[in-house]
Amino acid sequence: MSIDIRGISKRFGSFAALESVDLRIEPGELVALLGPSGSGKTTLLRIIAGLETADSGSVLFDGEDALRLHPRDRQVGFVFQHYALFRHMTIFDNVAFGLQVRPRARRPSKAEIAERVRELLSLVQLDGLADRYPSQLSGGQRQRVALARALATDPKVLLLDEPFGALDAKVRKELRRWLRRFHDRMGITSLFVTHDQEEALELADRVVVMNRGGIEQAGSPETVYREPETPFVYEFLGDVNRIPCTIDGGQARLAGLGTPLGGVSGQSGPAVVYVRPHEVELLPADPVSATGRIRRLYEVGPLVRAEVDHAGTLLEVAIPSDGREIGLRAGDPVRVNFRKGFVFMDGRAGAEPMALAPFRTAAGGNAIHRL
Amino acid sequence: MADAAASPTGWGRTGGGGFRKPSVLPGFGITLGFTLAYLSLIVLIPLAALILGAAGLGWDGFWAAVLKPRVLASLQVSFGAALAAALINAVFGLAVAWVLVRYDFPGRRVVNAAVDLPFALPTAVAGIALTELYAPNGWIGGLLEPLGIQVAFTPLGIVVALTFVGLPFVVRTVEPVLQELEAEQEEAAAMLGAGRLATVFRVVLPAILPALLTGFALAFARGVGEYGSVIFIAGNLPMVSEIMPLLIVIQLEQYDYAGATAVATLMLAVSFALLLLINLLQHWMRARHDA
Repeated sequence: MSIDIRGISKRFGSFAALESVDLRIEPGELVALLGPSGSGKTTLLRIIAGLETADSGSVLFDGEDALRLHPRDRQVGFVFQHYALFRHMTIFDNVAFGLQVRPRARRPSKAEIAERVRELLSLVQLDGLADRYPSQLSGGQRQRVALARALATDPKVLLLDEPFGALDAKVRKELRRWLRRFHDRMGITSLFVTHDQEEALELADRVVVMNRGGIEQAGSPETVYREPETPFVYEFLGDVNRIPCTIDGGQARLAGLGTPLGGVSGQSGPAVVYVRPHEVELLPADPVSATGRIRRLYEVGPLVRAEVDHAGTLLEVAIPSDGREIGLRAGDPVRVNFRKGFVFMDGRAGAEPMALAPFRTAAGGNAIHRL
Repeated sequence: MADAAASPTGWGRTGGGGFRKPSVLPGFGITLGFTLAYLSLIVLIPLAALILGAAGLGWDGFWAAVLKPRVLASLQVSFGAALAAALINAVFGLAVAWVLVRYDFPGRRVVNAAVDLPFALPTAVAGIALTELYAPNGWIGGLLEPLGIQVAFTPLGIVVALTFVGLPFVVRTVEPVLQELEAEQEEAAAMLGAGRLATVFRVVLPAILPALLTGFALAFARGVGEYGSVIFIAGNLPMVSEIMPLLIVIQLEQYDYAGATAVATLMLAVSFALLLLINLLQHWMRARHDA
């Protein structure tokens, strides 16, 4: 089922939770709503489910107005962040709930319900736990019960609100791989909310980055990561260094950097260069030609992370090391080279849109970490 | 905890031999000692004295004192009315708690404060006020009289009085549990296609049933022991609307101390048995889903 969201707005008192949001979700897609808390992502999800009402706008399921329908008639499965399992019911009764509350005419027989529950529990790999109570299960198991319960009524759309938010890191990783495989098998149109960029990039067909009640960018994980349209998207999708600069005649002049960065399109004026830590190169230099100094070096798994003093700004640098010596030490003077990044113009008068220009410098000849 | 017991300092090992598990919480000895001493002085010793007094009658004397028709009738009135009032409170107290928790309406604070009035008001005052209202010439009694319903000076009046004094127990025990019940549970039920009724009866009520039972037990216990409000409205007709506490007082006034003690002991036994039963029921319910 496709979902068409058109001009949805929602206010809570004086706070605008959503401002005229438009989004189309294709049948069978797995879409992530990614954003910080307060960005409106959960509100949007709850409006689609019918747990919240929109002030204006419409939501169409396969072209049909869904907002007129009561939540229970929308054929939507909803998975809550804290599972919301019924504590006084066994796992079996939890999963069977959606079938058991149907009006008598549409309710399957007892045997059919039992068979369906058995099928679903085996689908979420929880065979044999039907007689337990939710309090006897682990967090990951409870979340899978919640999923099985949501699927019992054969929903056309699956909505998941921070489905992994309450789980610890390892279980979270396992469960999201599992959910991806699960989605590939079931092909049900799914929408999940998360504030974890890694989760969104790994799991989703399409990532919708939200901020302050609006959509900043929607696209494939590769697109939003490689071609961010706004500084917010760039910053939200990973660690980033911000270096103030001035744009002048297609070149960006950075404080403390002798040669300007070329290939910058756009107007002249103050701007900010955004560079990811792994796009920064450190070259050994004598104190005269050096542009920075290493303050601290530490190894994190396959990476060496460095903090570099660079003309008054502190740069984060990530250097792949594979455990080898990288030939740098804390206190060393270095020349800093930015291989790739984005230049965003400072928004003048606040509301003016920011100009964006990607830049890419030629690969530095003798970057030490490539040794 | 196990780590603490194995710690080289050894402080955690002090309780190793007994039933007490090593714990970082201090003050076990002093608090338990205080609790036992306090409970003994205030509750256990007086009750033991009561039973001892009744024992002075011997079995034959005890049964003779207890099996009088008037005593059995008062037993029925006391426990029957308390049970009826507790049941009424379970239903309407739940409704009051629901309204107070779920909805914000003008005057909510006033209603909220009014619920506690039966706690504070001298019960005799409540009894007089209720009698005034429900007497055949009172405001409400006057309306009921043409229908052939008489409340004041009948067992029905006792139920009304006990409902009044028991209301806050149900409201105040159910309220916090209802407040804690996440809205998500009901939302989940709605998303699964459950209607309003199914949600209330299958999701909300089972979740608050243990608290409701506690409130019911408290209101019931309070009703059994209530004296002040009942004697004004009950009419106190022997065999019809005479409650056990009143019977005990009457026997005391007639210097029948042994008889009063025997009746009191019977009351104690029945109350204890019923409360124990309710407690066991609660325990069984909790064990089912909090395993």
